[in-house]
Amino acid sequence: MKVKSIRDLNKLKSEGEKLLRPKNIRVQVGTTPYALSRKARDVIEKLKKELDQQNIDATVVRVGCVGICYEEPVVEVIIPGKPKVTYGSITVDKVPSLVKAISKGKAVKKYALYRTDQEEIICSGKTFSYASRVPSDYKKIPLACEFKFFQPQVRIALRNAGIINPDSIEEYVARGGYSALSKALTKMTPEKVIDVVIKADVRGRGGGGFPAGLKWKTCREAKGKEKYVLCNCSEGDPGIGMHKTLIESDPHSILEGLIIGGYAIGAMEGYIYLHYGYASGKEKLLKAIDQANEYGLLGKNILGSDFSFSIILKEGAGAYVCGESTALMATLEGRSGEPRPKYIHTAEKGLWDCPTNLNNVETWCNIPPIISRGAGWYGKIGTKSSKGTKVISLTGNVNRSCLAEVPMGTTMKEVINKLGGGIVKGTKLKAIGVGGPPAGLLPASLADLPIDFDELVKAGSLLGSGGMIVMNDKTCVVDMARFFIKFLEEESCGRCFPCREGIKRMREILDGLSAGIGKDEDIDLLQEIVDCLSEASLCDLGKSAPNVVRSTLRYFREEYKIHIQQQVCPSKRCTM
Amino acid sequence: MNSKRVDELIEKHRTEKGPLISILHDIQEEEGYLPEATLSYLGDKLNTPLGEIYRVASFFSKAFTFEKKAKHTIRVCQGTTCHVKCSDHVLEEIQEELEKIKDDNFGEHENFSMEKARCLGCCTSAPNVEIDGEILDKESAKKTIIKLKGEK
Repeated sequence: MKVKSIRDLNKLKSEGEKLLRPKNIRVQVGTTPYALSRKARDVIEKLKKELDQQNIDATVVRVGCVGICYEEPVVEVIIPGKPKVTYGSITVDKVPSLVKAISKGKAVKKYALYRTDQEEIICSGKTFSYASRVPSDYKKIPLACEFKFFQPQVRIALRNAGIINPDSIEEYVARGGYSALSKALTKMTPEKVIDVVIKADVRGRGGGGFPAGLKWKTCREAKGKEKYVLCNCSEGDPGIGMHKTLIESDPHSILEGLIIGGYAIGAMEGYIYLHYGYASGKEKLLKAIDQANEYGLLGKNILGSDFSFSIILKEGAGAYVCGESTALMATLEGRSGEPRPKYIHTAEKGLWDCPTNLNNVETWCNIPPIISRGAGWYGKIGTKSSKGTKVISLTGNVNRSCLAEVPMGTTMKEVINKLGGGIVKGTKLKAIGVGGPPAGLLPASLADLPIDFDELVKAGSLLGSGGMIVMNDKTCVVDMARFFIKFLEEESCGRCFPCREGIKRMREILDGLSAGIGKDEDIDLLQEIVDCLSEASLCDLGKSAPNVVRSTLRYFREEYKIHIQQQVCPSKRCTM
Repeated sequence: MNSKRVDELIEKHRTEKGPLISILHDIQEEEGYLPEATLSYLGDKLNTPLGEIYRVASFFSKAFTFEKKAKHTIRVCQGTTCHVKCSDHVLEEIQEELEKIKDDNFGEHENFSMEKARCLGCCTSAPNVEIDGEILDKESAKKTIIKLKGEK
């Protein structure tokens, strides 16, 4: 079926609604890599077998990730007319009793995390009600909004994560998907779309926080017949998996954002740059692209308009520097991923020297709801200078690792305590790393800082892509600085001298410090290299590489001194 | 890889602009490494100097190798979260385990190759080890190695 009008889209929507809320029972199981490593596959098999044996009319659906990683495998049960119930840590042994309860239309309180009576559909602003009356045994289960994990959250980019089957375009449409595209194509000019993005003040979620609308405008106005829009899915930062979650839970939201971007900028082709060797994500994206082509949401004359657009998926080859825009484009062209100076912006001369707009996964996922609901709605979320929400991947020495989306302005402490359940027992918070290797470390005393592009820069850090790694007092900051610098040393492409040599020298000094052979003058020397690198490096990898040393020298200078003067590591992490 | 297969791969990516990296991925996947003769033939066909192909392939040293990989790949995650949870010690322990294999004369089969991984995207269960695509914790990884070394 080709979707040529809003009426066709509505047809697809009602098909999706039948899948999402069928007449029979729907059991959905999260299947992200972590859930699979906790035997989610066995749970699915067992569920199917038990449901079959007890003759229960139910469909078992594989969904993405809700973000409650510490409770995986997560199973959700939707019985028609009853609230949706989310169960955590479901093992194969727990399945029979769960299925037994399902057969009686009941919930199992001891496995339940929370229930959902109604759900807001972000793209339309409407609410969907699962149950008009809540049975008494369900009332004992807390509501999703009472569940601590959801309290601080506003889920825009993650709106469909863990709710829909990522392989089903119908379910995506049922949740308001592709309605923003149809609105843009039928009711808005490209300039108007850009205007909304500018007014919404969306800042790029990839790291720097550059205003997306402005970038789009420059690219639209740049001269050139062919233009490109790109989505960076490479996620080179170690310690986060948020792009994986977005791709594997809701691939169509990336496509829809990219198509809208293509329309606004005047591009006919879009590229998705994916991390190599990421089979499950590749499969999900290729399937989504195929479906969109099949339904005419990609290809010629989308939704009956004059606009034609195609999306090509290309795999990178795994170099961290390829997150940098010019290096990423070089890789897409089939060359080695070395950056070039950016005195000519990629918005004017990017991929194959054509005007090119690059945003990351999270930015693209945010676009459809903004177009649907308008800049005014989006502007109410977040802080004055950082609008909207940020997806945070929380890991490290917290009690619960998770993936969540909070409004900008939420403090790091709130994230650690409410989402992460606090620091591991018996230890204290020492440092927080927010945006990956180039972001540096912040001390515990700054945990009250809000998640906000500008506030974090002021403190000498970066929001980056939002991978928050929490470190307790068993962590040695010199060791952490050495770890990040080692990583960046391996990843420096070697093109410019300051980055190639500077990072290496910093690593040598840090090696010395952690081996107990540091010298008094090392601190000054480190500071000098830090300043040189951020001034003289060619690209952002080199410019931001010394941040981790700069921030630890700023906040943890004493610890450096102890390493040098007493030749001991207070956290006993360095082997001296 | 025979020349016919290389031709097929070139044909597969014919409509793609800048197809070199995609073709290299396919060769690496099928052969387990990039054989020199194949690259040389590819260069002729694409009209790209062999040096340029090596430049690209060696730049992306994590994706492409010039030597055949072993039967079993062990990847010990050295991502940030894993490092915070002492993955460097895990690396040492796995190395020790592999050393033991050598002592038992299993090393001759060269069945195992070990690499450090950047991030396996499974930070919740850090520190992680991946053996042949399956993510494991340290203890089950050791058990798996012992099990695998028994296989010929």
